Amino acid sequence: MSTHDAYISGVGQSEIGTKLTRSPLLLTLDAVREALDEAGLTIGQIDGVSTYPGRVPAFLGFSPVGADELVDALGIRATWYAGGGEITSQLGAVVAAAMAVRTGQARHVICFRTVYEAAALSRPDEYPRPQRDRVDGMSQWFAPFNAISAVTWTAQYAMRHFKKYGMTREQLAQIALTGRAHAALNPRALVREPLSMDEYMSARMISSPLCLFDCDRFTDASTVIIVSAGDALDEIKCTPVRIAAMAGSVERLSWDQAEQMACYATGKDLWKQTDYKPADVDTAQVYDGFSFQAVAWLESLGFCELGEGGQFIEGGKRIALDGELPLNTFGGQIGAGRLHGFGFAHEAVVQLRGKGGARQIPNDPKLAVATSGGGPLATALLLARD
Amino acid sequence: MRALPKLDADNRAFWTGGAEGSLRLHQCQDCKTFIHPPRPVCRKCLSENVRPTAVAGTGVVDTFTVNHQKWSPTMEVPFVIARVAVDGAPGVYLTTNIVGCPVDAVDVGDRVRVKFEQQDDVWLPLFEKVS
Repeated sequence: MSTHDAYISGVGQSEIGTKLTRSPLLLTLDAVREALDEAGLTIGQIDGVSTYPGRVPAFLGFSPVGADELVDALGIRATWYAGGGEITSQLGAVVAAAMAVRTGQARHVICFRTVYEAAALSRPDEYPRPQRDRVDGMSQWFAPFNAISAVTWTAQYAMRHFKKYGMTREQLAQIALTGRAHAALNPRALVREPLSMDEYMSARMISSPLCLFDCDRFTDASTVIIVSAGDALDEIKCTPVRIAAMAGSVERLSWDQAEQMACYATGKDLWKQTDYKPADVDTAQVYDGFSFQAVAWLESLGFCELGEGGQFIEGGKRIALDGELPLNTFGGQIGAGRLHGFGFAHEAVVQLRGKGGARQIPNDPKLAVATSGGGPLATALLLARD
Repeated sequence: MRALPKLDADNRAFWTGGAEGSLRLHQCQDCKTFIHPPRPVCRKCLSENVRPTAVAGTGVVDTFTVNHQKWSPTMEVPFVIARVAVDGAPGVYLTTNIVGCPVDAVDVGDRVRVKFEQQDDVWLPLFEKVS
């Protein structure tokens, strides 16, 4: 341990649902309360707030609560805060908070991500979809060709992997099957019924080679991670989890101009920050908004070589709770719901503290990796219980 | 019905080149790098001496997907979305549709040629297989 390091203290999560009527601010409060309670902190001790992507007025379901609102609503006196979408994906908000506490800008920072996409979809009068006569920015390069959803962009990376390295649908299925099996053991997960290989193989295609079960689902929920300074650990009552390394990248912001998704660069960079090796990792919580992104993360982080992801997960034993690398033990976004990045860091901390209940992995895990992002954005955290 | 781009100084040459049957990409006149999406500066040498340059209009399917999901009630499915590597413009890829053939006839490595589809003041560069 070092006073110069950043640590995760409390973590919290609201209920995870669809078409919830509890307001997004109050869902955020639920997650804040749980995190404060675990850390043994009061709201008066919080002096920083960090979020992704901030309030998005034109698309409130995607991000209904910003740092501004949380600071004001909860009476936080912040010496540092930040919220925005121009960052290396969702967990970039945790990276920013870690830098803030390491440089003395704050001592305890609430990092949060609140999503309200299912509720917004069901209440269009309250949450109107953005209406545009014409598209601009990055959308103009995709929307005119009806490449509207990120699934169509991710599917093209997956298709190339299938063609170049021979990955099969049966192999890829293990991301969804494993996520759903783990979600069945997570009382908060959105989808709690396991998924069979037959159901997966007969599912309707969304964007080949990705089928319905390769996609996460719109969710209403909030997740909170409190980042605390190394010299403030005497103020918290839970076991601190050290941020042992963090990395992120962006190069070509457009999804279609890069050879590889950004995770491949970030995975390599993560290990440059630490003496730990991939073999030291006890559990991987990696972004699975679409299943193939998780395969890419496993390759990127060096758990297997580029192109070997399909073989690595084949049969699912290796990534099961009792396997050599338990994966997305809360269900991932495919099983637990589209928490949008923060669920991975939350679960890494839960596992490192031995609080996973029915889904707790064995053998006293001490090191976890948590990632967010797909396409041109990527963030990776290496989390250690010393 | 397709969503259409909002035209501006940077993208106008790309979206209207089809009026003259020409696929135009921004190119740095100093270091010859192609710049896409189009911007008024070269991302390799930072020169501002960039201008739209016509390319052959052929390319290769780098990767693709067959989209089956109706993202709006009126959308006709299935259709092919592809990423085409543009001949003569190293490093530039265009997301587009492959038209004029069954969806299961498209594969990585297929040679394709641009086929413009006009809607209002925009010429969308779609591609079809070269037979």
